[in-house]
Amino acid sequence: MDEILREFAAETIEHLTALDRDLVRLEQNPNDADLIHNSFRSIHNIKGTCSFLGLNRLGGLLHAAESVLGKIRDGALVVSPATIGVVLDACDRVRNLVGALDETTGLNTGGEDAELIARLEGFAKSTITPELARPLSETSTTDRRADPVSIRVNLATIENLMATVSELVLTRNQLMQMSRRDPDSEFALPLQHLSQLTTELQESVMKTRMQPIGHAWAKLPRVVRDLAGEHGKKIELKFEGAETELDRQVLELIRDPLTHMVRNAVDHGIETPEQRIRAGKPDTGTITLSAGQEGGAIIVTLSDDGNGVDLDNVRRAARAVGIVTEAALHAMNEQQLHALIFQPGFTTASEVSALSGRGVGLDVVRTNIEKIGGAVELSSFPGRGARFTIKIPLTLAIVPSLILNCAGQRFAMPQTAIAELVRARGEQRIEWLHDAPVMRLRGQLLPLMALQEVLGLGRRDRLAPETYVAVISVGTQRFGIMVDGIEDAEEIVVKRLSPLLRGLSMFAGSTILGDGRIIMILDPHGLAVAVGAAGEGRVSDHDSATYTQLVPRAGLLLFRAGEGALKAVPLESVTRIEEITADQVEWVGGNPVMQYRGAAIPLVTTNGAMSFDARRKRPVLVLQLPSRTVGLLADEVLDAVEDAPSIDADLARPGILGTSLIAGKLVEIVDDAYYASGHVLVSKRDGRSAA
Amino acid sequence: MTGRDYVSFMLGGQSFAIPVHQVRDVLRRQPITPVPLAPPAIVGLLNLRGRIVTAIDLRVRLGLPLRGDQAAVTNLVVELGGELYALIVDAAGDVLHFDDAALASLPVTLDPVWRDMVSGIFPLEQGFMVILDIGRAIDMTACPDAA
Repeated sequence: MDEILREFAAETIEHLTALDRDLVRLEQNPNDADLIHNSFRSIHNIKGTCSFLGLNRLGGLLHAAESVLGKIRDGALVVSPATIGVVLDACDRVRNLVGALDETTGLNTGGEDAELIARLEGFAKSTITPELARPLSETSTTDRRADPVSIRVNLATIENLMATVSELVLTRNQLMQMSRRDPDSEFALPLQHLSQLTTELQESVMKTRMQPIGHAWAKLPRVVRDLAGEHGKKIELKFEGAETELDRQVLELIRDPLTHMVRNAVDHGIETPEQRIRAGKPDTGTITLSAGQEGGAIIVTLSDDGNGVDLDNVRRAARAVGIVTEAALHAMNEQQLHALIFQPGFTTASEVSALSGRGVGLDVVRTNIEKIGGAVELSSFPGRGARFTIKIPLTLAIVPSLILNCAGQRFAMPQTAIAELVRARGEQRIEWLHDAPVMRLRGQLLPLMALQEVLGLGRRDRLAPETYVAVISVGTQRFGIMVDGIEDAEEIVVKRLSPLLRGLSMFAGSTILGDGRIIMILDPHGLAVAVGAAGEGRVSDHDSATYTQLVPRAGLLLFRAGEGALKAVPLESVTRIEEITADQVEWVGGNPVMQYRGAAIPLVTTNGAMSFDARRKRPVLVLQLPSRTVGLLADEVLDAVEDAPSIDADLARPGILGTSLIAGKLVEIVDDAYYASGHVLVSKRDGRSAA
Repeated sequence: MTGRDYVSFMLGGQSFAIPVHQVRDVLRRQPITPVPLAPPAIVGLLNLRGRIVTAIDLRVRLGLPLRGDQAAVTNLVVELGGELYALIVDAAGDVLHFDDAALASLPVTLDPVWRDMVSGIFPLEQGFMVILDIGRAIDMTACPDAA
């Protein structure tokens, strides 16, 4: 395509986006003279360019739209959703035509504008009586600002510049390292200067890639307007910190997730005007997007003053789509329930709307945000609204990483994926459940994996003198990788792997460190899949890989307690297995307790019998639940097994969720939450439980 | 006269050559960062003036017996599709000129692995000069056992 046409297309799309925003604002502030003038001027300018280039079809459309705005400007027509709507329709048509222009060299594609032009003219011809026409206010909500002096630069040029500067930084780092060995060298001083200039150059180039986050928001007012109209809701969209700058590449990557989340807020967050009035709130809901910088990250929050997240709804939906087991659902606290919303396939919408409720949603948002090293969190205030907090890195060009030592080699791990570092010793030692290494970390059993085994560098010695565990958090999955040592943190420039190596999912790339050595960069997502697969034994297809990656791995601990069927309890709530004898049971106010980590925890049984054979030890499962910690007295701990495929609730009773067939045996699934609720007390005399 | 210049090199006692215009650099043994889980012929990555180069052991590619850890090696750095690769050989030799007319066809009895990677042979007074097809030697997707 002609260079002039290409420029025209790019510019026109930009102007149309600005026009969209102005028109939506005008609809909300119908008397803002500045907005009217701005819109009129924009459309007039686009029309002018079209005529100049001989694009008559576009010219005709824009002329008709301009007439409508002209009438508004002259006070002969009032701003209403209908008038703004028809002008927006014209903008859309122009946008589509210009878009088509972009792909083919031909000017006008098919389609007729006569009907649209007639509608526009209808508005332009209609007049209102002068007393109805309100005078335009003098106050302005538009800030008048001269455009900064700027030029258009091809994106590839900037990308190239950025790549070259990254190389320069690496070379500088190598030189600096060499010069440190010989501080008296005559090169030392000029090198210092070179180093400083390199840093300045890098910062300047980074700045050229920075764009205000407002660019990613430009289309949202229109999205909210259209969607709210469709749902019969009244919604105001507010922006704060639109000038916050971040890397172009990051901006592109968060555009779609943000749009999706705003749609979600319109769809599920804000109630209808009637519901709002009944709840004693103003009929117009507010969605606020705000952005700001915090250290090396940008925090974007999306809050609405809707109804908040209905936890019962979440539970019902989770049950309906079957993404967690009943037992796991039971034990979940509010935060864990919120996390479910980000699971693939999750939806609370009872009916599928045009834009959300298709079960393709927040999981994709979360995945996309995590792909760029970001994180998303949800907080809800029942009846008052919900807030999503998104944390994203300023730039993707440089990744702060930690250097790990493993089997004599070094690997880099992006710091965004590392939740914490633990040295394995004392309380935090590595334990083995059959052949699976685990670590107890603040009441959670953390599955572990030796990095060298994942990478095929040989088996790790169980008695290795020193083990560090990097706790990795990917989505809802949390696991630890065992390494020999942890070195410094380094800021690294990620380089893509050669095509020969791109199939290796464990690596995100490689880089050259300050000492000139190359180091492989680990991919937390690849490791997460490997950890999940290790538990599964194999990964049969893509679906199961996704499943193991995203669904918290639940397992059951099988034990014998009293007469009757074997019992099982969710493994994730068992933090420790202790053994006690009769004389270790103490009684407080008629209730049995035991000492655990310097505190007394209540002892419970599944059948109420608190009997001990003289001197024989009995195992106690220490259950750590959100509300409190209890000790569940068992006769014998048998095995850890995969989660029950299904629970039959026919034989449910207080404390027992139901039965399940595990390894050919009927097993009763213990409702751990019941025992943590404090209802179950065992009295000393009759040894029976009293609920 | 139609002919081309070739860089010759040795691998397991056999003379090989690649067109000189494809060779970007000739390096001695370099520190190499191994890449876990990579196909066996990929020895690792090395740093050539700030660029990351993927090192490939041609002995592995050609199914020749492996050399000892301390054996002297030479890296022939070539560029393919915008990426740099270092072909690890036993030793680099002279630049030689061969007339295209002297190119002999490959014997049908040649090992299929070799047939795939060899673009031609020049008979010499003693033995043969084997011309390696760099694209085939690097593109491991064509090699079933490394896929």
